[in-house]
Amino acid sequence: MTWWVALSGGLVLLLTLFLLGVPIFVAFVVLNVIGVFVFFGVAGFGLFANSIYSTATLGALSAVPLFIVMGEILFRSGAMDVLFDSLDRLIGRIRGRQYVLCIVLSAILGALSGAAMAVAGLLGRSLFPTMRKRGYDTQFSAGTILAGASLDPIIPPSVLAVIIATLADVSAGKMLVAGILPGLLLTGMFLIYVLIRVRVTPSLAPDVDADAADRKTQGSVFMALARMVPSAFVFFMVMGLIMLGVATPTEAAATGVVGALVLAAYYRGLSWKMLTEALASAATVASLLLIIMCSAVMFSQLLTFSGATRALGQFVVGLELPAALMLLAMMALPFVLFMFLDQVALMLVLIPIYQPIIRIYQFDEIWFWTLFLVVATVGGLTPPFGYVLFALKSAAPDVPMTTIFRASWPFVWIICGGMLVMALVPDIITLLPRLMGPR
Amino acid sequence: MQPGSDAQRSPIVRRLCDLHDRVTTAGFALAAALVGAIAAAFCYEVVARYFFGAPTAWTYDVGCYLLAAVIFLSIPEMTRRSAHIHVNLIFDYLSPAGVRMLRTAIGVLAVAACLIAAWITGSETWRQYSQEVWTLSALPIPKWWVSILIPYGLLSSALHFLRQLGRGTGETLLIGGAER
Repeated sequence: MTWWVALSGGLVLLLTLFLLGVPIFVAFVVLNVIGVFVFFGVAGFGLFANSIYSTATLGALSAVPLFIVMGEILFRSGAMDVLFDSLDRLIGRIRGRQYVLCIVLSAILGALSGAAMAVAGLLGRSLFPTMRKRGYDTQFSAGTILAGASLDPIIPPSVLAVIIATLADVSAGKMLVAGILPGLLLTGMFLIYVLIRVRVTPSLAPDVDADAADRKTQGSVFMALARMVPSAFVFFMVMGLIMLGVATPTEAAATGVVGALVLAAYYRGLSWKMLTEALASAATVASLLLIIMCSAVMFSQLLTFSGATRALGQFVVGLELPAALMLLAMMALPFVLFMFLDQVALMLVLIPIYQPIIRIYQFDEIWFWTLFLVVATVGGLTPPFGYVLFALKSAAPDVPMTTIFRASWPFVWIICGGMLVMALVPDIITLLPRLMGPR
Repeated sequence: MQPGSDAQRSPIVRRLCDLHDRVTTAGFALAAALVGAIAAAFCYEVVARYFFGAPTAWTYDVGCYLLAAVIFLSIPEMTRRSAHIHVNLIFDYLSPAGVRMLRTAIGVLAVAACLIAAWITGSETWRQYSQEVWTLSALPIPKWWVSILIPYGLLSSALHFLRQLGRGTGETLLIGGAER
């Protein structure tokens, strides 16, 4: 069987099963069982069993449930509410301060957890009603919440970054650290956009005096800063230990869990019930993600066995496309597909296909996969099926879906602009990983 | 009560379903506890290495083994809750009868896929057991101690998919849950 028949046949089968609504892990099991049978016969089934075993026992993936449980503990402990109140005090008397608060708070939440949906839900339930009550524009408020939530998978710790690093066989520590400056860049771009929009269209935000009348916006700046210090401790327990070379990403995720527990105890939010719920939630989310990986990893091995990986590389070389055009094509494809398909499922398909192309074009792997992570994040924001959109909708059911759709687009284009900057100035992504050394 | 629900079955089937549910629940509770155990193991490693200068040889391997346990002890519960991630585009465009037919077809496919995968992984586990295959790691253990959880998770999931199919039609047959 020629490689392109195997590859296109496999992809058509997989996409058909996805679009028919078959659970994604079942679709991968079907594809891989058929693929193994076609290429190796029954004797090859052991390969499939071993691919499941080796993925399920991959040490780097242990960070996935640990990052999730860390975020769950922080969300359930009340630590996020303390951050919210402190930031509300710290943002100065500027028009549109709640938009600024939303984006800065999201960036900080991103440094404490890695789940965009959780942040969209949290802000949708807490900040969004306040913004609307104070007279902020509903659509623009929704947009800033979506934009803020999109920062979370980029700013470490990030479950998606660990998954990409594992699949692409690059350093998980470097992938995590690589997200820091892009996350800050996008935060800055969002803030600039928001402030310009509010200046051009003052009706988007209420009068400053009315806005700052809330008691939460008053009080000691020093106390507000002091209340935020313990949260910085959790960030240090994860990213600080990775960057200092004290802990591997998985170990840092575990120390982050301890940091979150200490913080929860400090805020008197620690209880047996909260802990068991957080652990159950982590087991739920991690198993749903990782069963897909376990059932899908054989796909990349089949691509190699069938000769598709090598042939695809030769095909790409034959195209003689300039590197910039190839990069654009490699980002545009997932940009479109992520609108309709699950992030992890699509990563499992695209990453093994992209790996030989990256080597041919000698793209820096951390740079490329971080750009890919940003595209995957955008997928959560793009209508019609961005999951972050639905997380906000479920938190604010009275807001029409069309309003949420319209709200997301300006920020999608800002992220695309940010990606262009990251592509043109690779140091934004590669500087911090380079400073980490060869780890 | 839904047509074809477990409660309408014969006492033996009902008891078996009840037992299956209990095992599923216990497995998930254990999986949640093991997430905590993974965190504890890796923290212990950091403390042992940096505070006592005595790195362990076993924490990484234990973390790996426990991760497999977390995944495959949780999966039956995820299937029971109909929580598996799926794309939910097509259902909006089908008639109720079409949705029922499609969900039945998906259920049959899911049962078949999980049973075949359970058979494949179960056969490999049996081979590991009969040939006394050990893990290649700093903490070697018989490989089947870990790999047996894979056919367990897949077989139990197949049974939950089958029970959802048997529960009849329409709203009771929810194959997917965490929708895009």
